[in-house]
Amino acid sequence: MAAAPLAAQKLPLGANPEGKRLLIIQSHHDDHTWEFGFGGFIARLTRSGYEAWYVRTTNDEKDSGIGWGRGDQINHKESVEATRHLGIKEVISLNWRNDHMDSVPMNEVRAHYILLIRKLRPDVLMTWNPWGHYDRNPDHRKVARAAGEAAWMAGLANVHPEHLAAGLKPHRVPYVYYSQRSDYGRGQVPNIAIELSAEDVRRKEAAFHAHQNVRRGSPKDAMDKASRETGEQHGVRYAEVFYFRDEWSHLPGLAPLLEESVVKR
Amino acid sequence: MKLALVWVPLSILAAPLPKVDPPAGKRFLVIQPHHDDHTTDYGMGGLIARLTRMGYEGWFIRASNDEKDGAHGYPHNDMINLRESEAASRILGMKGVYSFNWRNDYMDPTPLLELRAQVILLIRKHRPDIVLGHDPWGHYDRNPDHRKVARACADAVWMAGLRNVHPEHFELGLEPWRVPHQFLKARVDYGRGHEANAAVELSEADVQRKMKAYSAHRNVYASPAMAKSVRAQLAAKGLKAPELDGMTDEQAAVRIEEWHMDWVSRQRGQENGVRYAEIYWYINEFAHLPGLESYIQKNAVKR
Repeated sequence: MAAAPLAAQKLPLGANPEGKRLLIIQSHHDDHTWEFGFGGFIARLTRSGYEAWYVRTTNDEKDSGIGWGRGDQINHKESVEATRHLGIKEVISLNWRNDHMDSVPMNEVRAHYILLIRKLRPDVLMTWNPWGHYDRNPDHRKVARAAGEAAWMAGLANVHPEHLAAGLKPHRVPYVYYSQRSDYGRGQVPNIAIELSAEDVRRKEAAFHAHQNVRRGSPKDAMDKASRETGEQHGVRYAEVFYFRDEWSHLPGLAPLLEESVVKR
Repeated sequence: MKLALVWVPLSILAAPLPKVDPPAGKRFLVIQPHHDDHTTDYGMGGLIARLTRMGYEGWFIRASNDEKDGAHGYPHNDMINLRESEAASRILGMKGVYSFNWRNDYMDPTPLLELRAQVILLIRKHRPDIVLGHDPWGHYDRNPDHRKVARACADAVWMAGLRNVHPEHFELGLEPWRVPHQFLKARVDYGRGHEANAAVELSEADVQRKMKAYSAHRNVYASPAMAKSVRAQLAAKGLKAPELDGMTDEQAAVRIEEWHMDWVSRQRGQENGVRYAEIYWYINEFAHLPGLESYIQKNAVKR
């Protein structure tokens, strides 16, 4: 059996970014609550006072053995319950057709996200990683790319100026944490590890198992085990890993130059 | 003085890259989505300056209309950015700019075949020895225009050489032309960029022209808001940059951009054992048949 692509070396441990609002944009009802992220980190941020919103982009109709319409309803209901365990305020569902997102117009998905970013003005965004390798789930690919574009374009006043006419203001997301499935092929190259407390992992576990429609029969400690394995690699008890981008990274020369040239006021 | 920033190193290669000198030739095309994509820190201003210094003639193709880049409304942004692009291209010694004017930031649904046909036509007209563009083999680029143009261009450079592709062009007196050399780049500030395979050394004069061409795009660079935001972020940490004291936000923004440009050219030089450099994904025709080049080196003789 081929080994999963694990990070060979210890990653730096990330601190909570400064901020108040967290937006999680994902394809499916359960994409925020499994071993590839983001449940533990979501719990850690909401515990520290963040408000959070979850965007489900598809209708999850394929994720069940109970018919498409019922699948949509039940998965949505369980997603709402799971997000409660993580301290998320609300689930916003865009209901694009599950497993068929390749043919959905990029610009339209992006426009949904830009609108929500401008309304909710998140300091932190979590989503699938568009810089990762190919993801064979077309919904993950489309969401990753559309969210990757929306995170910076929401800050441009020239993009969708009709939003400004409706009273919204441009907002560029300062911190973005990307994750990707590593169980079906080459995943992502993470650059940061986030340490989790036992309470974060407990909540992540509860959120995971809230998705009974698809998780029935999963081991009771599935998330504990996955978070512990990742933690061990990075020298802590529990962890999740991400590909992290921040505003400073936008000008590669700036951070080291500022380190050379700034002084205390 | 250490800042409490989370500084994540970019995908910069540790080992020096092989140095590649631009091949001798006469004409090159730069094919990019935006008015300023030939003059940013990721390339290619320095290489362009070096090529025109060698006697090359060069043309710049702007695929989008750049309407989103600026604060003057869509049509004015288009016109101002085009004018500044022409000025920047002149500074780099280029002959002219073509603009296709596809809608800026909305190129994802632009038909690939139509864009490719436009590029094939201009390749057949100018018969370039070198094409410079974005790297379609790079990782995800979150700018949809970069992605689309990189792909159209990569298709066009070899298809322009096929007699069966767009035979209507031959009715106009054009001939097939396959582009022998390409220098490709990708933005690294957005995330993972590309894996470069070549470093091109630049002279100090090349870097000077590159910086002048860059700052010709005054409509979009040196934004006072950027300087204001950098100052505010520093102030929030109880810090300041003394070099920016007494400068307006606009002047400070120019200074910050210059730091950035100079830093990038020096950094790429340092990594590759020279003073200044740019890095590229370089491809030539021989690379198409991997064994051919070494066979020729070993076996070819003077006629």
